[in-house]
Amino acid sequence: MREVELLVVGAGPAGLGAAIEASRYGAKVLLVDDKDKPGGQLFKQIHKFFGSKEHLAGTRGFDIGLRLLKEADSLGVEISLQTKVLGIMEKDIISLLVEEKEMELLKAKRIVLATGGVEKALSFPGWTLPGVMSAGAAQTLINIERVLPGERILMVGSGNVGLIISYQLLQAGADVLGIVEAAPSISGYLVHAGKVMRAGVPIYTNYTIKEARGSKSVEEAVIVALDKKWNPIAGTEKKLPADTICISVGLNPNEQLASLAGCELKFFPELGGFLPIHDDNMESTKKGIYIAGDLSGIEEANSALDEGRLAGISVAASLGYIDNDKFKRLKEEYWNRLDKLRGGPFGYTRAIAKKGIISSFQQKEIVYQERDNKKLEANTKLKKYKNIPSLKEFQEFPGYPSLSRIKKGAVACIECIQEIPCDPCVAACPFEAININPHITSLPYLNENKCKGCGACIASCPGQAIFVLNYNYSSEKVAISFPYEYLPYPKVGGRFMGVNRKGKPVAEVEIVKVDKRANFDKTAVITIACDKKYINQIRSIERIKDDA
Amino acid sequence: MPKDNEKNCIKKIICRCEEITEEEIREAIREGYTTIKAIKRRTRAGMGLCQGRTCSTLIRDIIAEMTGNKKEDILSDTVRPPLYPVELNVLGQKKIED
Repeated sequence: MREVELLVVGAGPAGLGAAIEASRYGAKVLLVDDKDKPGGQLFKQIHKFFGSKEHLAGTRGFDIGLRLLKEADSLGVEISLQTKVLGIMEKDIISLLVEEKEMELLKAKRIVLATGGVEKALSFPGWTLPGVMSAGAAQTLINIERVLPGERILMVGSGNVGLIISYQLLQAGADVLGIVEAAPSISGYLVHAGKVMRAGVPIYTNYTIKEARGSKSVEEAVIVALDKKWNPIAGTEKKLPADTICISVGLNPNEQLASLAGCELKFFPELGGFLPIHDDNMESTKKGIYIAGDLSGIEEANSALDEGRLAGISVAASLGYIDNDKFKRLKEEYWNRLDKLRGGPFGYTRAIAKKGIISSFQQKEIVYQERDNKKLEANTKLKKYKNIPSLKEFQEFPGYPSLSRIKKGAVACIECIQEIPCDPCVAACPFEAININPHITSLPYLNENKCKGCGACIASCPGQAIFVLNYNYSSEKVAISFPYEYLPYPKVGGRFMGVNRKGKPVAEVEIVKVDKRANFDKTAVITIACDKKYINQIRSIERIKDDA
Repeated sequence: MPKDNEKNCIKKIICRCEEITEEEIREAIREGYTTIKAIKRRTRAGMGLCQGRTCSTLIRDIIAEMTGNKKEDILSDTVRPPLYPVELNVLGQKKIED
């Protein structure tokens, strides 16, 4: 029977991270995945990622996937695709099903489980009609299969997944009729919400889907407002002519294989539900079986990748490929990186829950949590929004230039007002005019005297939250530059409707520049000229429809 | 999760693989089957192709709502190999030798 040193199950970011690090230090690795391509969800991610330089922030997800595959290949990781793990049997023998027709048995000295997450379902009358699908399924259709699931989409859930996929559906050419959110505020990042709202997509907070109607497939969606106890309020129903309803209400860790392998599971609602507990080396309660990525708690790709790398070095160290001192150093480095990603108001409940996993592994009472809770809370100013904030609110933040500076001429305007782990704008500025200190989750601070309004930061911002305002474009007109990622691009000299942050038409504007330079990586920077009074209002143009 | 009107769930399917409706799940809970495992055996919900990957979370929500039990105390059913459907002639290909 074949015996490998390390079997990694799941070739998404966590599994690739584990396989890469373990083989970097000398372990022989077999990486298996049930799909016909490696990369997990990475190749569906066409947007620029958040994070810091070491996380390749500002790079699009599929490009990160390509780099990881290249690295895995150069390190000699063996990847077996269309390979399902059927079970871990007696005497720790693992049974694999290859291409649905071949059984293989093997033994592994160590196993890393990186089986990812499963999208949660939401049941409502009509949810089994064709046209109702998970948001992830819609994303696979548009970004992998290049097929539009429908033309008029209703998105259920305003977390980052719902917001990002709504944006990508717009990019693919669909109309998004609205996003419903049962909570009283937008649950994902405001910058993601900003992208779809500038395109005119309404977000209905305190709303849920009531029913999908249609004879053979979805023809209409009925949404309804919720009261404070989440009960539907009769008479508030709205009918939307949707042909597709996408469900994006969170994920569960895909824990079945871990459970079957005998790993102890515990319930962490902040991280998606039941998951295998692990120690700070990512080792589960079953010795020799390690856990990484969404399986150990639903987060995002960067955290999954770093957790995978951490599991990889732990395996390499346990096999004797890394000495203790070096392992300690590397481990600390990865924990620092993970702590950074879990900083800020959005990461804070996850950070607490992650500590809970490790302390429940150590069978310690989770008594210190309260203290840590307070410490973390003190470092965060969680502010969630129902809608795009007013201009006055934006102006209170350190990225918005003062009125006197705006009147002096071209200057960056950073509308990034939530503490999220992201900093590519700092490196993009050639004049060191943007600072993010002391944490990666701190808000960007604009040194408006150093800023020359060159606009190098605009395309670098994964949140598309940076604009350049040029008050002195001409005697009557100002110029406003903004990022734009829809095809077809507008042409210089064209006249379009300028829209505000909520996508509402403000005034007709003229396109004066379309900058598509290569290092903007497909984010065009459009400059428009308009009346001076709109300098703090207009932030984009109406999306140009292909068939227009 | 928004609460459901019990009257509104007669034709709402919860387990798509076995086509088990919400009313059948609620009826089983009223009869005293209050775990995911018991409901599976009573109604077949979770016995199909996907092995409960989709419906077990929905069933957990319904059990929690009707019994008042905490979700963390409503365990998933025991997972058994094979994790995925496999043809018997393929399953019989290999024999574990010492």
